Parts: sequence; C-alpha cells; structure tokens
Amino acid sequence: MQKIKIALVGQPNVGKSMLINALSGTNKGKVGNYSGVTVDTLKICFTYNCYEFEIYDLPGTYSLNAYSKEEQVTKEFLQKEEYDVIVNVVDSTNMQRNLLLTLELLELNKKMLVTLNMIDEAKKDGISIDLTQLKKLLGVEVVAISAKEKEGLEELLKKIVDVVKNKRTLSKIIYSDAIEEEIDKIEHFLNEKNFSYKDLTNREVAIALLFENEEVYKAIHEDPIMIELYPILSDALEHIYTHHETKDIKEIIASEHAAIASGIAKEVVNSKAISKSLTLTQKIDKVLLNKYLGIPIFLFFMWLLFKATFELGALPMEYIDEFISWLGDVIGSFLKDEELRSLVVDGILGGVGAVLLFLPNIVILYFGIALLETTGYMSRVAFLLDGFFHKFGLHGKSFIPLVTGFGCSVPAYMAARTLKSPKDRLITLFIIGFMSCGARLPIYVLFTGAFFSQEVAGNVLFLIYITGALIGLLMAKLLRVFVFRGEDDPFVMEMPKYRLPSLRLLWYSIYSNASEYLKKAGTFILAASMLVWFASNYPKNKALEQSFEQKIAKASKEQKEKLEIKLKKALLEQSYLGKIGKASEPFFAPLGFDWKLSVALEAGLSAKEVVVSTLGVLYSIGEVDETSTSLKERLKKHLTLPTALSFIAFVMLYLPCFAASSVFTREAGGVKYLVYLFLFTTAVAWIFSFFIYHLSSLVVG
Amino acid sequence: MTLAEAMKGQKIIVKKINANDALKQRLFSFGLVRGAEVEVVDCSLGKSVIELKVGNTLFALRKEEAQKIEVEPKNEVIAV
Ligand SMILES: Nc1nc2c(ncn2[C@@H]2O[C@H](COP(=O)(O)OP(=O)(O)OP(=O)(O)O)[C@@H](O)[C@H]2O)c(=O)[nH]1
Ligand SMILES: [Mg+2]
Repeated sequence: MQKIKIALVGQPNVGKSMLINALSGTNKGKVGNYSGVTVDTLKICFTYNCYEFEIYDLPGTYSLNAYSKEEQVTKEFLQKEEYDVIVNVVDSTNMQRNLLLTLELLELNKKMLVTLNMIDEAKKDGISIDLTQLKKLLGVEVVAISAKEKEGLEELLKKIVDVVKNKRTLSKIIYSDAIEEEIDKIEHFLNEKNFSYKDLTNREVAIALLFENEEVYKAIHEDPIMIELYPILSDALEHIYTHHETKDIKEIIASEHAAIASGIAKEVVNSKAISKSLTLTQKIDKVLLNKYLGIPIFLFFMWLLFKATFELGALPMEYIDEFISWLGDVIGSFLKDEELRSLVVDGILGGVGAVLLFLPNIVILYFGIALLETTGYMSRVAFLLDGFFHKFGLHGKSFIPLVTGFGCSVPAYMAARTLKSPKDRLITLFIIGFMSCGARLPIYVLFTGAFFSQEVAGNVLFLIYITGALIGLLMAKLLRVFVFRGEDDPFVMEMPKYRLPSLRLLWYSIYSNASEYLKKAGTFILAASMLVWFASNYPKNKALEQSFEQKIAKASKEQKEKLEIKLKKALLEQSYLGKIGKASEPFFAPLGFDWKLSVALEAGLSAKEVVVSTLGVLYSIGEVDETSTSLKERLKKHLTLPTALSFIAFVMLYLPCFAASSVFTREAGGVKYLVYLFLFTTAVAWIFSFFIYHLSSLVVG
Repeated sequence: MTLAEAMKGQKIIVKKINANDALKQRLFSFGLVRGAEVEVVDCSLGKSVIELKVGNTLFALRKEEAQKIEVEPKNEVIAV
C-alpha cells in the first residue's frame, strides 16, 4: 500500500484540527475557537482507497517567520521533514489574509493543494468563491470543504491522491512589473548557463534568489556561475529597492504578497453584503468588551461557574455517596475475613469512592472551560485583562494557559508556547500551578462542604480560585522584578468570530474528561488507595494489641469504647504510614496539620486526587463506627476551621502533580527549573498557610 | 498622527510602521501594511489595548505598539 505523508498547514483557527478529526473519524485533534489551540504536531493515520494516509496536524501559523514557539514547530516541520504534499487550509470567510500564507507556501515549490474550509459559514454570509478562477490564478488544485458539516471530504481525499500521483504543478503567481522584470533577467541568465537546481525551474530559482532564500543561496554559492551571477543579482536588488523605497526585502515581499492577495481576493470572492457573522461579533463585543462592564461581566461568569460547580454538583453527590456506603455494607457482610473486608471497604471503597464522589463537580467545571474555549470568549478576556496583567509583568496572552490550568496543568504548560518571549513564558510556567487544576477541586469541595453552610460554600469555592489567581499574579510580579527582568513583548492577538459551539464538541470534551477521571480512579487511585491502606495497617503489632485486649476485657462498657479508639490510634501511628507522617509532622505542625494531613499532602505529589483518597482511607480506618458517617463529617469532627483553611491554602499553592511536573520540566527546559519550582511553590505554600492558620486562629479564638 | 490617537469608530489609512522586525512581520500577516485601511473598533479601560479591524480580521494591539504606527484619517478631504 502506498503511503501518503501530508503536512496540514494553515493560519490559526481555520479548522485544521477539526478537519483532521473529520477525515479520520476520531477526536484526537483539540478544537477550540481561538488562535493557538494546537501547539504541537499531531500525527493521524488512516487508509483510504488502498492508500495509507499519514496526516500531520501542525500548529497554526500566520506566516513562515516563526514568530512564536509553536509557529517555529510548523516552520521546522516544513523545512526539515520529508512529506509528499502540503495541504493548505484556508478560511473561506477571510480569503485575503489567508492567501498571504498561501503565497509563502507556494514559494516553497512543493506539491500543494489549497482547501477552502468553512464553506458553510461563507454561504451563510453570502460569500461565493470562484474555484476555477482561483485554481487558474494560483496554479494549484483547489477544493471547497466544510470540516464541520463534513462536506467535500471525499473530493479532498481524491484530489490529494491525484496531486501526489501527478507531476508538481507550477505556481502561476505574477509579481509586480518591477520584480517580474528582474526575475526575467536572472532566469534568462540561468537558462543560458544551463543551470539547474533540484527539481526547480529557473524561474523558481530566480525568485528564491531575489527573495533571499538561504537554501538556494547556499546551493548556488558553490557553483562557479556565482561570479557572474553576483553583479546581476545585486543590480536587480538595487532596482527593486529604489522602486519600493526601502531596502528591507522582507517588507518588499510582504507588500508584494499583500497586493497579490488583495488582487486575487477581489477577482474570485464575491460577497453580496457585509459579513453577517462579523457584524454580529462586533455587536456582542460592544457589550462583552465594554470599558467598564467587561471585567465585571467576566467575574460574574466565573462566579456563576463555581457556584454551579458546587451547587449543581452537590445534587447527584448524595446518591453516589449513598450508593458507595450501601456497596460497602453489602460487600462487608459477604467478606468474613476481617483483613480482606478492611482492604475492600476501607482501602478501596474508602479511597476510590471518596474520589468518585466528585465526578459531577469535575464535569461541570470542564463544561465551563469548554464553553470558554469554543465560543471565542477566551481571546476577549485576554484583551480585557492585558492592561491589568501588564502591571503584574505578565502578558495578556498568558491568560490562555492560565485558564487552561483551571482544567489541568499539563495542557496549560504546553499552551504557554504561544507566548513569544522566553521570559514571559517562564514566568507563566512558574505560576500556572497556582491556578487550581480540576484534580484539586474535590479537595476544596470536600473541605468547603464540611466547614461552610451549603449557601456560602459556592462563594467560598469562587474565592479560593480567585485567591489562587491573585497570588499567582503577585508572584509573577516578584519574578518579573527580581528574576526575569527584561523588555516587554508586544501584545498582538487575533480576536476570532464568536461561534456557537456544536453540541458534539461540548459533549466530547465532557465525555473525554469524565472518562479520564474515571479511568484514573479505577487504576492509579485504586493502586494508591491500596498502597495507603497497606502502609497504614502494617506492620502489625501483636504485643500492643494483646496488651490493649487484656485491658478491654477488664474494662467497663464506657471505657471499652474509649480503649478501642485508643488502640486503633496507637496501631495507626506505629504503621509505616504513621511513621512517615510522624517524621514530617514537625515541618507541617506550624501550619496546624496533624500527621494524617501531612501524609495526604505528600501522597498528593503523585496526583492531587490522591489527597482525598488518602484522607478517605486514613479516616475510615481510625473510626469505630465505620459505615455510618461520611468523610465530610469525620473531617468536621477531627479538624478545626483554621486547620481546614490552612490546608486548603497549602493545597492551592504547592507543587503540581508528578505528570504535570514532568511536562513543566520539558517545557521550561531543564531539571534545574523543576528544583526551582519545587522550592518556590513549597515556600509560597508554607508561608501563606502559616499566616492563614494563625490569623484565622486569632479570629476564631 | 499615530494609531494610538485614533478615535473609536474611526477609519484610517496606514502610512508607516516603525516597529521592530518581528512585530512588523506579525502586523503584515494581519494585513496591516502601508496603505491598508484600519478601523478602531473598541478600546479597553484607559485605552491600554485597542481592538482593530483590517479587512475581515479583528485583532488586539497595545497602546505602546499602536504608537509606532503612523496613520492618517481616511475622509480628510470631505471637510469643507
Ligand atoms: N462553521 C464552521 N466552523 C468551523 C469549521 N471548521 C472549523 N470550525 C470552527 O473553527 C474553530 C477553529 O477550529 P480548529 O480546528 O481548532 O482550528 P485550527 O486550525 O486547528 O486552529 P489552531 O490549532 O489554533 O491553529 C472552531 O471553533 C471550529 O468549531 C467549518 O467547516 N465550519
Ligand atoms: Mg488546531
């Protein structure tokens, strides 16, 4: 079977990832309505008509200048990789700007095909495009498709096969007279010398030389004709400079391309009215970007999200809770062996169950983030916050990775690639952890639910997130002033049209996050819970047990119960986990944490869900009345409010989980940064918790 | 005048871009070249960021960068 390797290239937000999903029938490519959703190459393979397709979804790029890091990925792919054909995806509702990249791609002299995506939106806007004429002007095949409606995909695949099978067609682009004249002269000279380079025509070589293409320069440098070519070339450039009134060849190319793109767009695009979707977008912007109301509206949306996360999430929680304790009772009555019963009921159900309880909250939070990502509101908030962020030494664009961090830190660290300046990027990477990720949500819901009334818990949750974000900003300022000093980077960002997200897209985002969470609960959390159960039940201490049993046998009824509790406590404290906890207790004691909380925090370094599952196990082992109360009530019984607040603060600020830390290390560029991050976050978390603990102790009394 | 001085809703023509290379290229790829028509759609509090429309593209730019772009109003001749 013949393999076809395809580079999918286009400007940001034109629907490349949606196209790759539609073609392959998967949901692997992440789709969102803002620039810079895809920041790394994604390879997808499938077969069609006995051809093996290998498509590479590349990060969107406005031009081939590699402005930011993810654009560099695309540029490097195009230059260094071997591929059979470039599929250039173009937004049909914004032809003129998209053609600028198309022109650059044509100058690469590779097999190419232009795909006009979003043809459904173009139709709705009353835009029609003359495909035959466009093909004639560009010299390459053109297909109109809609990745959303899955229109024209079959034709696209067929044409890709055709383009690959046939000889490369030549670009038909005609530059301005001044440039064409010089191209002709150089081409004529090259022809006379019988020059040839790879599979390029001499016209293509001439253009490459005039536009200062490094690869061709290097190749020709070693050829003897260079001596004669050199004066012709510098003469030609001189003419072009005087004609364009500048010596910046990049600027000359840009203005040539701008003129050509505008010419082509005028010739092939026929739009009857002004774009409806664009006018609608501007109308919505009048409200959402309002000078005074913009930020309050955003804060209101965030508040609403956290309120819903807590309150709507609490509804199904009761049923899940009841189901899990029912399950515990049933299984418990079947398992006669006490040891095994404890492993299943206290270890597995106690740990995994405690995590499962929060699935509804997680789903709602991810739904909110998906809305932000798919409607087009994301870039607007970056716009609103840039002024504010700028004061804290951050870039408005940092908002995108930071918000992604409310879901999960792993994609957030990746998303920071869209920041151009390395310093902005590092600062953002360092504070992403302060944006509490979805996995920390269960801890907050658990503690706020235990220590605050139902009505205010949602507000407290909102406050926790806001506080985390504000501390993040403050730390950004510190880092900017003391560590990463340097020039500000310009803020230039496209604002996409508002789009109604398709239900399919929203559903998929929720579904994939929920199943990820369940999968983790069934594997990682399960293993961790069993480990925690084991480490807190062993080693056994027969002598201790016996000495207590003798006492219990003699004691009165009331004393019996007290002694039993005492025994359990003593056994737990001399277990492996108890010893670990006791060892680190001095470090955490000033923050008001007992050894159980300390161990839970340490276990949370593997994954934040483990904090809850560990507490679940530890607090169900220590109890006498095992099934009757929930973890929430047990925490309320054992902990004080200052301790709870201090614990929340520590969780909010300390090192992200293992998986996130390793992505951080890769994106930041070295293990030394992970060491810094560990020291930095631990210090911030400790100091902040310390103050919270002692201040709230004073207030509570 | 510079782009930073333009009023909300005003349409202007780009005369000259005095930015550094990287930024210039980025502006070019948004269609903001010499002679292009630009509309100021919106601005944030304190005018620290402005929203522009060039062709069918909406994008945001900081005041500092807008100050590097020389422009002239589009309909200057109309005044009698
Ligand atoms: N109406 C319509 N919308 C589309 C179509 N294709 C994509 N979209 C929308 O366009 C937006 C961008 O889609 P993506 O697939 O994320 O774009 P991309 O080119 O991969 O973007 P980057 O990864 O940032 O370069 C999303 O909101 C999609 O829902 C289409 O054919 N019709
Ligand atoms: Mg993409």
